[in-house]
Amino acid sequence: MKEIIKILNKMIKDKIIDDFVLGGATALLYYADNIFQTEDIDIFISVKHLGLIFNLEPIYTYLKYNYDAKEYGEYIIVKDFPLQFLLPGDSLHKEAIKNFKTITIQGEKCKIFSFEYLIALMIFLFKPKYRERIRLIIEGKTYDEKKLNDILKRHSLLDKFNKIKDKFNEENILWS
Amino acid sequence: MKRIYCGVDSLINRMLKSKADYENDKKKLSFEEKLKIMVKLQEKSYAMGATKIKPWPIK
Repeated sequence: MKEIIKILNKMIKDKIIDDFVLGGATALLYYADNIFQTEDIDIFISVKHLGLIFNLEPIYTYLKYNYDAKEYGEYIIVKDFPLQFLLPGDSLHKEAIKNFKTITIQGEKCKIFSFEYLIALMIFLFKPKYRERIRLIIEGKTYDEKKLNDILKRHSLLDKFNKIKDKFNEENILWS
Repeated sequence: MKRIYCGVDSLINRMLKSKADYENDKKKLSFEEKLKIMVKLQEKSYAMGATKIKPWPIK
């Protein structure tokens, strides 16, 4: 993991990317009490001179040439770590990439999404695997509710979140 | 016939205590420790054939 952060920081130095922020379950692992399984590391990158179409080819070529990386489906395997490079496409992702927290992973400093933005992104995307994650996070109550509601309100996601919470409450009543 | 007293109350108390301990222990875990546990889960999934992606090389 430390090696990957070093490589990503080197990519900034070499002007391949401008910055990066870790997202997904890797970032979630930092905040949540529960352990969420993932197979890849989601890396959200920012590139200053972004045209209408951006491809990841320069990043992949750099990694293949310098670190013997190999493409595998949607991932690029670097030092046995499957990495997924992502660009913030929508307004929520763009806002999230600016609201990061700097942490130290095995002695290497790196940025990760803030907890509330990670939750907002899961509500926004609401993939099947996110359902259980959101439920456990709501139960854990370790996030800043005011901050999360503020983000959700601004991105018209508050109703969606309330519906999700209602559904969880209904299920809890059924099972208790 | 010998009657076995199973002490339900004490058993429940023990279970609740261990659950609370487990929750507290989970909260005490560092990011690196959580990563290691996650890799153990990856190893299990890989061994079971649930994924073709190898576990992360974190020991």
